[in-house]
Amino acid sequence: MNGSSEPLAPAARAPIDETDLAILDQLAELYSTVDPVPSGLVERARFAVALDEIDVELLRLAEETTLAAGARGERGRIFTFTNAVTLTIRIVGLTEETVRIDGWLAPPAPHLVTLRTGAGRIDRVADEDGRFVFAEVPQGPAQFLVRPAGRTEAPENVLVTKAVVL
Amino acid sequence: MTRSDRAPAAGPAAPSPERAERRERLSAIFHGVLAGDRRDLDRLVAELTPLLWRVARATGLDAASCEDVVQQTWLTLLGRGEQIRTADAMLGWLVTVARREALRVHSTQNRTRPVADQALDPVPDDGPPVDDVIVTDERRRVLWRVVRQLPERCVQLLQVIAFSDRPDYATIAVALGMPKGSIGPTRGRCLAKLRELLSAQQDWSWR
Repeated sequence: MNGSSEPLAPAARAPIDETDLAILDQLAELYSTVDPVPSGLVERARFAVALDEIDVELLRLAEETTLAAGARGERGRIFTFTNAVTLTIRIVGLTEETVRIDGWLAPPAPHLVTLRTGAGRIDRVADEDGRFVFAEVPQGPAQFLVRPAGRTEAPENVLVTKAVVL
Repeated sequence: MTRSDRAPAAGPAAPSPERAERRERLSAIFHGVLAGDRRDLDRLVAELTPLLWRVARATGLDAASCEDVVQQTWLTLLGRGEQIRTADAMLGWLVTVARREALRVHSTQNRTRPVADQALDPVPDDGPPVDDVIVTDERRRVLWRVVRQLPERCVQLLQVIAFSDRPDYATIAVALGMPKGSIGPTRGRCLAKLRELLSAQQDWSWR
């Protein structure tokens, strides 16, 4: 394929025609069938970018763990996101519709953490150990934003996660 | 019946109205996004998520990680969009970011392999094999069988190209790290090979 190993066959040098386009259309249809875009991905991505903030930096997902069912049968998940800070989020179901979120920032600092859901935003300032809690929030798509303390005048440093489904 | 009899007459293709329309729409959206229009960003996510999904999946990364890659590519556009100077450059930029992001995740999942070299290597598809059962339609089954006879790099290229528009083929191939001339405006080796293999199939019919 690298062009130098063997000369291109005449068929490969021919311009792309309608038959080629028809083959590619069928290839697209094939891949849409065997490996479709996951349901809800477009909606989650649209939610994630529908931010008022313009100059954002990505908090990348580093790890996602599902916890074993707890004593009351509740299931939990832990997400770890990293950039200049590491954000760890534990999500545990409370009721059919709500979850509790416990979070940690490392290194610990009293940064402003915002939970953004379809219903709006909730702010928490992490304590000196970097901990914060959203005691009861509705399920659904959600995103976390971290504004480093002392830099609230400089919102270009907002760190954002992808959208997760609580 | 000879092979050439079965293929429709070849010749330079006129763009179908539908394809030309989609590309015009995309071009307008690129300009809007570049100008900071949030509604166009929303439209762009809907239009190009299927393409970026294939870019990520073509690296062989698992589906859950590819979901992250696609979302993170869009967030990177939000944060680093100023790197893009022209609307024409946006498509190649997005494909490049998605591919790099996918390869980066791949390398963290396979820490034993040196990262620097890996970016240039074809990544084997270690995702779950797609069961023939899913591909029930006879035409699809023939195509699927043939695709799996292609070299890995060709499969990586063509599955992404299939989700793009002809004037962008060359740009996308380059963004995927393929050599210049891999596809567009000429057929290139991979598409020529796929077409040749299909022609040899008894049970393939050119519609």
